[in-house]
Amino acid sequence: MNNNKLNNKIEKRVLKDGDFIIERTSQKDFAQALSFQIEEGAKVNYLLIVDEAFDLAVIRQWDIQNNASLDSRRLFLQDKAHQTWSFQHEIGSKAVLSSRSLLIGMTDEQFNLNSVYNFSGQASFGRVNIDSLLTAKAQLNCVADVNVLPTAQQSDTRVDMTLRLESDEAKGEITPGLNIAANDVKAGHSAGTFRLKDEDLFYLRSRGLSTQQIRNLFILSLAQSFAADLKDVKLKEDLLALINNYL
Amino acid sequence: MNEEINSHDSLWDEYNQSEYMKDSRPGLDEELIRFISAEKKEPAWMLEKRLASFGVFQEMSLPTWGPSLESLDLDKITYYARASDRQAESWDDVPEDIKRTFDKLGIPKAEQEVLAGVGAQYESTVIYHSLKAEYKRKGVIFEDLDVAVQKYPELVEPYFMKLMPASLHKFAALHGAVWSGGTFLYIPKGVKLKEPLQAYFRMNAKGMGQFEHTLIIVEEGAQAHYIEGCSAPRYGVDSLHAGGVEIYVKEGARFRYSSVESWSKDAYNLNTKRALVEKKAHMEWVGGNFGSNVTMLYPCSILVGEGATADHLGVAFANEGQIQDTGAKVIHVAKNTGSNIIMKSISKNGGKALYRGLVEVKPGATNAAISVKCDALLLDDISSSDTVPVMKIHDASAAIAHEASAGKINAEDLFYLRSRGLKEEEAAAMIVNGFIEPITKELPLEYSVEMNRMVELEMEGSVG
Repeated sequence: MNNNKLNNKIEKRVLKDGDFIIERTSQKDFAQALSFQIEEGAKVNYLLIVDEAFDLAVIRQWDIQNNASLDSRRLFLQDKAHQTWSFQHEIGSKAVLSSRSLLIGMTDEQFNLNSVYNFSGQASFGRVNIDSLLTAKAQLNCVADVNVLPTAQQSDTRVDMTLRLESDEAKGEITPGLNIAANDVKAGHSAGTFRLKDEDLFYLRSRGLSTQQIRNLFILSLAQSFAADLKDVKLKEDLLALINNYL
Repeated sequence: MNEEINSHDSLWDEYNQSEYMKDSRPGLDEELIRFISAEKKEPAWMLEKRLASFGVFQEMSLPTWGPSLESLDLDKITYYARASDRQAESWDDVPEDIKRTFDKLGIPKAEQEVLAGVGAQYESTVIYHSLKAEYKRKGVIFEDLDVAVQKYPELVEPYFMKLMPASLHKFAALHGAVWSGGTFLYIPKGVKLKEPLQAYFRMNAKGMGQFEHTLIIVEEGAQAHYIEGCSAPRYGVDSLHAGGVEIYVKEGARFRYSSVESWSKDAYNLNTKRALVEKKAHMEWVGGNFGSNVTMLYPCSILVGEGATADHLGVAFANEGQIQDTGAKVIHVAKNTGSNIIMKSISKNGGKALYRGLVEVKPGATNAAISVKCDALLLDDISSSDTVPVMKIHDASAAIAHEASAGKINAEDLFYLRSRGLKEEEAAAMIVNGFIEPITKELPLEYSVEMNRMVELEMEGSVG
């Protein structure tokens, strides 16, 4: 992406039922700062593909109004970039947020991912999953703050973060914050770090696979999970092909 | 449960007329620091350390994160007051007015029944210390730290304020400048103590600051359990507790530090506790935080030896007007280290409980295994609970699992207990005690009962 394409003005868009927004950083008209409002009762899908390197901060704001729902997927594949992404979500009464992010760092990327989820509406619902796999010298600083406001009684929220470091020089900082100001709620979060065990690698190597092939297979399995319930079969295939090409 | 414990507020809030305060003054300057050091007849190195800490204190600003401390007026705090001219070895020799308070708190009774040794500090000075003869013979040292500075400088100087240097934060620097009293505990190599040792700290006077320092050295292969209790009466004027705890757990040693803190709701409890854990050693922190206006307390384990491990277990109860900002820090420096953090919080009547944790895996600390679990219980819709677990992973081989949850008392559980004849309030207290059971079960029975009872007292009026 050319830095000249970005601007600091927050452009606002209103989304209606059935809208499916696909953003790619490699697109010419990719905007630095966008604010989306999902109308009451509308169901919206969103796919963000970060497939081009640039060193700027990007902002996305979401206003999910009452009874609306957002299925959000964010895929980060860029090389050699130092990026800061800020996602702000306001979730209204009986609104549903399903958010899934997959970050794959293969060189010396530095991801800064800051997400805020403000559950303000009664009986609002949220599931947030952030999965990352870093190799080489990739770094991740990921903060996901869930704020359950006093007005969000009967809400049900959960954030799960996974950090997979597959090299000795990869680093990560993850902070899954949970701030709760209502008592009749279900709220939880989890965070974990994992690495392929030597035993796993040995087994797969004994089947004739190289370390790189094993890692790629692992990433493709994460990609399958990321795209698992996409209804658009063509889009799903394209997405998996994109990740395969990236590897 | 006895009548004294039932009258919770009157028990903790009762205070003695503090005649000794006539010779004390609020505010802090170099003159006071020199006075404290001279009165304690300290060696030159300690005065130098105090003055250096004071310099750091003056330069540092209040923390920019966490609860606001703006209403804490450090110029109105009395930093030093000597409640007794001499330390007693027999309970009968303790001044009558002080003894009366500790008698009510049950200190001598606890010593007779379960403890291997006990120390009691009133304001800035330790007024009573004892240790079982059997342990003295084994070379265990359990002393007022003021005394230990004089008697065992070769043991104190290499360790004192090394784990919590003045540069750590503003209140560590303040502590380094004005610390007074506290405990020095030395467990020789291979000595294993079966019964716990205890110290009790009491702030009695109005607007007082208490800055006791606990220095513990557990030599190779030794084992011990040490318990601290703290309290202060309520005056409507802010008081400050900025204690310091440094624990050195040497190779193959095991040490458990338990504390049950019940400060008055006027008290700012800004405590620093750190442990250095060596090869194959194990450190356990068990803590209960009740009372206080604002508590900021994050016991820290630094795992520097291969195979070192640490457990952090804690309960915090935030009632009306209180902020319990507590948590744990574990820094994994060596290979094959492990840590386990379990924190429980309860918020009620607008209280705010916050778990703030840091788990850091340094480069080269391969195969670190870490488990963090935080659960919060919110008893009404005006209270709040926050969880801020920071995880810094600089070694790819670390395995970390963090899990947190928050919610209210299950209505079905309440209904079941009420159908068994319990009042709603009793049923709620029982459920809360079950909620904190993983922590209380790690305490000696007497302390476990005390913590459960404190929960019940905090729960009074919580339902209906």
